Amino acid sequence: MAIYSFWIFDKHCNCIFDREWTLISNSASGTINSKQTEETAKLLYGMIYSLRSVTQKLSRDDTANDVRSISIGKYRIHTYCTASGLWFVLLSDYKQASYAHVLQYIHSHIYVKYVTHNILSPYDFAANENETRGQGFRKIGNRNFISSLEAFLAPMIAQ
Amino acid sequence: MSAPAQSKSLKAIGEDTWKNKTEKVNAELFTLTYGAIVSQLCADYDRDFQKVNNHLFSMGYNIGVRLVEDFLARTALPRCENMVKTSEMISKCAFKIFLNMTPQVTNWSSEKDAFSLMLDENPLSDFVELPMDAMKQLWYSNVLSGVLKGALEMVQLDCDVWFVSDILKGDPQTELRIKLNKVLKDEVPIGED
Amino acid sequence: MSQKIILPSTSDDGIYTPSDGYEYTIGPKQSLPNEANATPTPSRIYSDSLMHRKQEVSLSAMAFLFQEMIATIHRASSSAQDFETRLNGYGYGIGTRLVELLNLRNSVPPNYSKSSTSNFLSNSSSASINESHGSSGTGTGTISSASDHTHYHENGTESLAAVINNMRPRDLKILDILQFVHGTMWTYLFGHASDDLVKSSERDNEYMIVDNLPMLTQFIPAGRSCDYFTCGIIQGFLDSAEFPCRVSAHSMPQGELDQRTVYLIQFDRHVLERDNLRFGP
Repeated sequence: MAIYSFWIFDKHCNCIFDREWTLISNSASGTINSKQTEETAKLLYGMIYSLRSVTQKLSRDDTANDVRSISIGKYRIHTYCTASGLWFVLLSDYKQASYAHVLQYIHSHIYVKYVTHNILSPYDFAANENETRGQGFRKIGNRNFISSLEAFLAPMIAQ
Repeated sequence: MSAPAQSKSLKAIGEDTWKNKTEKVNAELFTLTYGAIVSQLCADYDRDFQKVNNHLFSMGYNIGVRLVEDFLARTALPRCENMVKTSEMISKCAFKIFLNMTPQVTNWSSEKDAFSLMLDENPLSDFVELPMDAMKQLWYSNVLSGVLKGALEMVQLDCDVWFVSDILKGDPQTELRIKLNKVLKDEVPIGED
Repeated sequence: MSQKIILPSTSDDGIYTPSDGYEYTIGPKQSLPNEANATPTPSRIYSDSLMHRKQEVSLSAMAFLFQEMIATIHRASSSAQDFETRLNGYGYGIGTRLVELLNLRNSVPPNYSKSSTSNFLSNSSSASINESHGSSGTGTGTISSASDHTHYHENGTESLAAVINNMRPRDLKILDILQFVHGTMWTYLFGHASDDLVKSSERDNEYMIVDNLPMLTQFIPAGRSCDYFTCGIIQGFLDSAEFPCRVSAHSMPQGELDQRTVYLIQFDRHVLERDNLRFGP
C-alpha cells in the first residue's frame, strides 16, 4: 500500500490543494503548491472531468454514478466527489482497491474541521468571476489543515 | 467511514448520525446565544426590524454555505434528484442532525417545486417572547431561512426561503417556505464547452 | 405577613385585574389564531417549565452560530479591545440569567428523578458547596407551601418550583461561588466541569479557571479574543451574584493542549474585604 499524491479540486474546477511525494527523491516532506504541479493538476482534472461526463451520458439517470477510481498502467486514481462539488483525488499503487474511506475521512475529519469550521479560512477559494472555471490559483494555506493531513497520510506514503 | 448506505432510509440515516456521529451541546446555550445576537441586533439597528430580518438572513446564509459541507461530510449523501427528496433530506436528516428536530413537510405546490416546513419545536425561540413592536415585523428565527438558502445554493439549488408565519407573532404555527427557482449548472472548465 | 414566596411559573388568580396589555399574573390564555393580530399573544414563558429538559443541539450548529456572531461583531469593531468588549457584552447578558436559574435547578432534591428530568448536576465536581453553609438561613429562604401549588402547567409540563423543598442558599463566599462557576455553571454550559480552579499566588484577588479545550472556540485558531464571550458569561454571573469583577482570557498552552485557556478573574477590592469581614482572613 503506497500513495503518490493527493489533490483537492473545488466546484470552480480549481485545484485548491496538492501534495506530491514522488517529485523529490528520499524526502517524505514533499512539496506544496509547486509550479510544476500546476500543469499536472490541470491534466488530472481534465481527465476525471471528461471521464465523468462520459459516464454520466452513458447512464440512464444522473444520480450517484460517479467515477470512483481509474486504473492506468502504473497507478490508480481514486476520486471522491461531494454533493457540494468538491473532488478529493488520491494517486496510489495497485495494492489497495479502494481508498474511498480514506478520502471520506479527509473530507469529514480534516477538511470540515480545519477549513469549513474555521471562519478565518474562506469556504470558497475563488475570490471573483475571473478565478472560476479552472482559472483560480488560491490554495488552502491553513497550517492546521496541512499538518493534520500530513500526519494522517504519512503512514501510507510510498517508501 | 463506510460508503453511504443508500438502502437505509433518510430517517434512519438522520437518527443514526445524530445518535452516533454528532457531538452535542446544551440546547439552552444555543437558545441563549441566539437570543443575545437578536437582541443586540435590535439595539444596533435601533429597532428597525426589517434591517434585523435582513441581517439575520445574511448571517444564516454565511452559516448555510459552510454548514452544508459539514452535513455532507457527516452523511456522505449524494445530490437529490428532485425537490421531494430534497424536502425529506432537509427535514429528516439536516434538521435532525443539527437541531435534533424533524419538521413536518407539507403544503406542496402543484408543480412540486415549493413546500413548507412546520416547525413545531424550535430551539432558537425557546422561552422567547417578542415585545409588542417587534411582533409586527420581526421574523425572530430568520437565520434559518438564510441557512437553508445558503446550503441549498451550495448543492446547486437556487431557492427562495422565507417565513410565512411564526408562533412568536401570534400565528397558530410556524411555517417556513422553500421554493425552487432553478437548478444551477455545474461549472465547466475553460475550453471544455 | 406570612412568608409568601412568589413561585416562578405559577399564577395567582387573586390579584387578577383586567387590563389592555398582557397580564403577567394570569399566565397564558387561549386566543383564536385570527384574533392574534388585534390582541397581544398570550405569553408562553410562564407556562413553560424551567425544569431542565436536557435538550441538545449539535456542536456544529452551535459552533457555526457562534462563529457568525464573531464575524458580525468583528465587522462592527474598531479595535481588538473594542471587539473583546462587545463580545463580552453578549456573554454578560447570559451570565446574569444563570444565577437564579442554576440555583433553582440545583435546589431540586438529588433523589428526585423523573424521566423528564435530568440530574445534569449530579456529576459536577462541586460537592463542597452544599456543606459549607448548612442551613444558615442566609439564602433565598425556604419554600414551605410548594405542595399547595399545582405541580403541572397547563401544557402538562412539570413545575420546577413544585418539587423544590428547600431552596439552596445563595453562595456568599468567594470560594463557594467560584466552585459553583467551575462545577455547576461549566457543566451546564459545556457538559463538563472546568479543568482547574486556581488561586493566584501573587495577587489575593485573582483566581483562574482553566479550560483545556474551550468548546466554542476550538475551531478558531487565532488568539483568545473569541473567548471573551465566556469571560462575559462568567462576569455577568459573578456581577449579578454581587461579586463584581473583571474577567480576561489568556492562552496558556501546556504540552499537547495547545488551546488551553485560562480565564483570569480579578475581584474588586471590596469583595475581598467583605469576605474577610464575614469569614475571617
